[in-house]
Amino acid sequence: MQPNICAAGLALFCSIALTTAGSAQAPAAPGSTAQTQPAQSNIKIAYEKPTNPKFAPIYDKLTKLKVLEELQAFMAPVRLPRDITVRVAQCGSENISYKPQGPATICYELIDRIEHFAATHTRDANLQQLVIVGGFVQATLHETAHALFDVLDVPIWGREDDAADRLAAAVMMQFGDDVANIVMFGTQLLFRWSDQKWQGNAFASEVSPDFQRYFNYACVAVAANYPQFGGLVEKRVIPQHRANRCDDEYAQIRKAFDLRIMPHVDADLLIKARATPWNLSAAIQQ
Amino acid sequence: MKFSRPVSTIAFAIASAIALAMPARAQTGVVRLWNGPDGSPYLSTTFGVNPPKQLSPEHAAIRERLIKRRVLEEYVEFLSPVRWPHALRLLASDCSGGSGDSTYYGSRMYYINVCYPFVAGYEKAANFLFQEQTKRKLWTPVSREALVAGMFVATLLHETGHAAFDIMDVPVFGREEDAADQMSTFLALQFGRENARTLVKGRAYFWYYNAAYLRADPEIVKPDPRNPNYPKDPAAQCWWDPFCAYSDEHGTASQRMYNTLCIAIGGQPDWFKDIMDAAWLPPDRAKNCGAEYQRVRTAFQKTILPFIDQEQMKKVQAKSWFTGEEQKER
Repeated sequence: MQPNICAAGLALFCSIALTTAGSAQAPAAPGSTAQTQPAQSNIKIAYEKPTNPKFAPIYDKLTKLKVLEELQAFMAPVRLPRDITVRVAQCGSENISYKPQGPATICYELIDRIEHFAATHTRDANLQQLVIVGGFVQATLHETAHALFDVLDVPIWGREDDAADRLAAAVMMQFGDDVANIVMFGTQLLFRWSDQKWQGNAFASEVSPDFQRYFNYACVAVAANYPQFGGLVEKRVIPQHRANRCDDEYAQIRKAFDLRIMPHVDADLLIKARATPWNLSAAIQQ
Repeated sequence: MKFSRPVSTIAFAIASAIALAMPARAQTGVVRLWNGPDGSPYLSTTFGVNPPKQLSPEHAAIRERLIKRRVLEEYVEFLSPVRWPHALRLLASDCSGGSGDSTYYGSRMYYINVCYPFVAGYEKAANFLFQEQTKRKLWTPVSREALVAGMFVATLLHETGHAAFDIMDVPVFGREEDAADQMSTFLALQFGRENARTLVKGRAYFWYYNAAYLRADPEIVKPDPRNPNYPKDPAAQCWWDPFCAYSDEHGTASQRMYNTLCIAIGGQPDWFKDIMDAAWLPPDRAKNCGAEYQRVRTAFQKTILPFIDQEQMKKVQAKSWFTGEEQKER
């Protein structure tokens, strides 16, 4: 199961994946921001210019290829009491926790780490691209989920990071098959290949171990699209005891979404969004 | 633990029994004891196993202790403020008769089944920890009776969480098992300091025992399959595999201990100052525990509180649910 992501319409991510070697371009001036804000959307986006020259190629590619704009268009049906800003920024670490009323932030450091992670785990350029695409989209949807919980004052049972993962996983599967499969498969590889070793008080972390997150995403994938992901059950990557529960888990997330988020979604726009072919390669060709 | 298999021997057994026991008009809004063939909610057999098996002498003794302590009857009273959309039923049994059976909530049929083998497990854990504290410092001293009581009721609260999520149709965005753990610890903090300490100590030490002594956390390195203890059953092998072990819908034993401690100090830092003094919760986690507790509180207020009769709740909160022995700190 290795879809060709470039052929599937995610060529823009292919290009991002190939920036690891770095470019000769100088970093953009610190503090300045490139952004696009369609008047009708509650999702605002921003690409903050990194001060570290190492991240300049990532910045250049993201702004050129309009990655966040695609997310913004996909989320356009959501009607929020206040705007959410989704930004890519230099954080000083791979992640910064979402703060109430704050922006949802994807760090250049994380993208950089995912690129190196992919390169060290496979020489297969296509698989590297899958991991980078999956990792970036997963991180974006995960951080956006935190912001949605905050803005909509959603009651959260369970650990919030897992809740954000589960919502991100469910949203991923609402793209058309080509995009959903690529993003979900890339996410799974990212967590499956993890070399984290958890023991002792590492388990005190608010964030779940990567392998646990793998099964959370995989379970949603199997329930949402068995023809594509059922092999994970049939090959016993997901053991039967967990596989038996995946349908219920996915139904639970959908129910929570319907009760707490769907009332804030414009149903007509949602249908249009779901009917849109998310052929991101078109963005590159423009 | 939550069972949701739609068609099973257990479901059939319950459906048949409920049909026989059903009054002319269904009672909703209350917790009911489910009485077995001999009229007792404390079954003297396995449950859902055909033909039913009789209890071992050890489990028969546990059954007698539960009957004497009136645990199910008191738990019905404890849950009396909750206005359930569907009646919740409570029973105790030997479950499937296996040594690993744990107390569970049966969705769709709306019942909690307390398993005698699980109670045997608490008693073993409590005995061990009580002895062990003379050799190894725990975050706070323990008494055997308080540990057993705390472990038992905290588990009931966890299963009640599953029941509430199911019966009240609560939206659960996170993992349901973690959510039920949160419910257990959150509720533990609503009934005064002494009750809270019995419950939190019972729950946290149960997971500590599982992590530290039963080595229940996932392994880092895959054990050698030539190890004589390496299981032959592929399903059991999963728990030994450093990757597959994370497939469980429950958190690891250590995660569950830390989650319990975090909600406790987040909700009542003064009552659980000894957790911080003993440095059992790393500072990185501890710093956000107040916010974690508030998140659970908000979720409870928005999704569960509307089902609670406030006047009745005050009466329940005013009562001491544990005996003096069960509240002994050491």
